[in-house]
Amino acid sequence: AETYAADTEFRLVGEPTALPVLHELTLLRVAQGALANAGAHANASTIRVTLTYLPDRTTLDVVDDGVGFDPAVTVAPTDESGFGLSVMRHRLDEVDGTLTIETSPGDGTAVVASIPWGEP
Amino acid sequence: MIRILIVDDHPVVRAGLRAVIESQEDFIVVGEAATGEEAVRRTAVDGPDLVLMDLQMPGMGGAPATREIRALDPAPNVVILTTYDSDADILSALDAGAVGYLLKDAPPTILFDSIRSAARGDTVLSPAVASRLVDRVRRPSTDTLSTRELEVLELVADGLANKEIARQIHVSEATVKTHLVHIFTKLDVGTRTAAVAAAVDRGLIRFDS
Repeated sequence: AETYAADTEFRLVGEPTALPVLHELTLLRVAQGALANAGAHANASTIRVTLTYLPDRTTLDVVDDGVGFDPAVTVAPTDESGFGLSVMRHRLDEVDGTLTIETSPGDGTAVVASIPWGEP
Repeated sequence: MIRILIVDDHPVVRAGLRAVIESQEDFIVVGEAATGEEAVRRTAVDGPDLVLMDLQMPGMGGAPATREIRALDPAPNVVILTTYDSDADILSALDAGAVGYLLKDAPPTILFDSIRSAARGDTVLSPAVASRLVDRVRRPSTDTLSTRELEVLELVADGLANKEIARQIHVSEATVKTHLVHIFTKLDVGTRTAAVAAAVDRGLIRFDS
């Protein structure tokens, strides 16, 4: 495996609560995927991962200060390791979650996964 | 002997604090700093047991400096000494790892007792600060702004757009907007301006002209 040169920091925001295992697993996969993408493509110096616990949802932000990309350009849906964005969206769909990508060339990239709490 | 580092951007305040502190036989001032960055550097060099930290300084403020100092090994205890008592200021300082939060209207004897307690690791709070925290505990959580929400609201009050706020706290714009929705609901307002006004009114964030 390659190692990436970016300085990575993690921050936890809000009151941590026990999540359904499927939510945790989904967020973990999204984090792995987003970090792998950032490492492989972003040429970033810093990557920040923020896990935010909110009363109505849990949100994971992976933000890098790298080269960004043009979201209008189609990204290959799958690769060997399954870290493609389509795969992430599909995983989040399964838990009624959403995936948002904020990026433009030269402007860094933010990947946000958000999973709402289900009906009580 | 308690080794103390004084951090304040006003030279007269530093001089006054030094004189007052050095009146005590069990205290020694090992250094001074005028900025947050300098505070972190001097902590590593001077090895204080306790850092007296101002909050409002140009460049790196007291809360981020406290966070960096608490990440050092060994990490001295940090007591905030400030004129500000908004929820946002108190929570960001405690969240950063400060063991105490004192207002500058505290008489010297209270300051001395607080330094001795804080050096042992005891939490020290001015009564007015303790009151604000108790108020938060008593109010339902659906009513009180979280530490993060206060952080976002302070940046709104500084005039930053959502994208700039996102850059500052290293999250996405989408998450900033999520926080704003919660903030508006909790304050029962519909605009950024109204949110800032309501928050200043309730002492949740500082009023800076």
